[in-house]
Amino acid sequence: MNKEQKSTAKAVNIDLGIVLDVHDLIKTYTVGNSVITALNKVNLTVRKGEFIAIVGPSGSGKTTLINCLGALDFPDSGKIIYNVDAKGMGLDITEMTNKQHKKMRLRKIGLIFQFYNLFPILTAYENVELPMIIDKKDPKSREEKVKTLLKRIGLEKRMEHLPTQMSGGEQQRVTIARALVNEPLIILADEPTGELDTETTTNIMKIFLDLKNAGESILMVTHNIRIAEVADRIITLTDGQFTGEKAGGKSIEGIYK
Amino acid sequence: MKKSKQSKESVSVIQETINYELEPEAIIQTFDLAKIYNITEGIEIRALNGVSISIKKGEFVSVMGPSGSGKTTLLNMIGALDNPSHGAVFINGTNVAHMDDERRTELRLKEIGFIFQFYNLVPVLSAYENVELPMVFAGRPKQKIEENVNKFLELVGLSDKKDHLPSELSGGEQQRVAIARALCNEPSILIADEPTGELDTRMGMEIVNLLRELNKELNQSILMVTHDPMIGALAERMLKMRDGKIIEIITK
Repeated sequence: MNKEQKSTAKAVNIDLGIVLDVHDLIKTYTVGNSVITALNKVNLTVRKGEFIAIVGPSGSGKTTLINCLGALDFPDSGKIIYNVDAKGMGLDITEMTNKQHKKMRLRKIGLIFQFYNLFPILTAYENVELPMIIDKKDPKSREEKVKTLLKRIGLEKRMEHLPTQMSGGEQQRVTIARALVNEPLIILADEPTGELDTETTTNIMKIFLDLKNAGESILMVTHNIRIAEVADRIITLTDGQFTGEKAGGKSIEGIYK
Repeated sequence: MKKSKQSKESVSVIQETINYELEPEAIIQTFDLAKIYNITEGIEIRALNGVSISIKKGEFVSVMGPSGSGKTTLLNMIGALDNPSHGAVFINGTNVAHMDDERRTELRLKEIGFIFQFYNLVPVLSAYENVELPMVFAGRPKQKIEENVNKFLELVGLSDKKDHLPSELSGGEQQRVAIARALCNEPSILIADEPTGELDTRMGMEIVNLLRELNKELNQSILMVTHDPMIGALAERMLKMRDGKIIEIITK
């Protein structure tokens, strides 16, 4: 990332029901003498409470997309507008500085990764609390929020456990709670079940559906077409371009049948 | 080692009332340390089976052995990441084997620095922010945090990459960030579990040589688990493990 100059992000109006609006996103990488186009004019709108799955094989641009939307990387061109105050004030994160990106990641975007990335020396409780500590939230509100979330994902009895004492599925549930703790606008998940068996995968998808039903907006990228079918919309990404879309909404019980 | 048992009422009471002979120079000392998993009735696995070791301040010790020999279990006991089934682990003269959770977290944050095979950096935080994490969590003053983070990022040679995210760093650089993070609370002990496991030979040697330099400069004790004999041989003392026991100690 190389944006150290002053931010030029100007507020624009955005529809109240829209969380994220992406326009003509392009991202290229230069490898040796050749230029690889990882994202080629991607357009996407995520509405509040929507669960979208983006599917595609390795190298299709899924992770690049999550990194750009998650303020972890800058695109070459295009706009990524978030409804930052949830009241219609849109800000384009491509016009932000690194410092503003950090705030976006801390407060507005909840990120979930394939490899959990928990801090091994901290308990489940402490790992979930971490973003609130970094955001300087007061201890009372931290305790309330962390306990509520750990209960919501069914880990209230595992609060004092370390990552090494938990299964992969439990660790991923901790990261879901960590992603939610600062009440983000959206959850971005990059292959959240990539390391999990089918039963645990189903359980994680159940949590995602519960979150969606509670009004959370979720964007998940995955190569697993079966789990994608529980999302509201399934978009296919091929060679950096959206090449298809269909409605999902399949029941969770049916995904591995 | 064990001198007397004053009570037989319960395991925890026995643990607390055994008198252990501590070596004055030892910063880590374990007594008859065991971890037993009961798989099913009558069948148990002894991941650790009576390990007694002593490590002095400033010593660089490697632990070697095949998979399943108990290396990581030993490290987890010493790092207060797991409880032993019996035995004792003294860190700076305090038995950590049966500490409560709060004190264990404090010990892990302040007395011990951890380095893992997969770096375990937080992906949404920059190198600087990852290093400052244990200090923020330990409630250190802002000025001290800034001073230490800059100091240790410089020591591991990453001052110019402090604003980079883990995804923008190579494996070796990510492990350097993890080393700076392990050092920032100025612990007396560094614990490294296969720190070169994900790196190629050249980068692996570089990381261990960096650990050796830091060990000489900062005088921390280092306990490093590895399955690579070349890496293990760089330590001053090698402990070889098999079936949950130490079978050989090689001192240079």
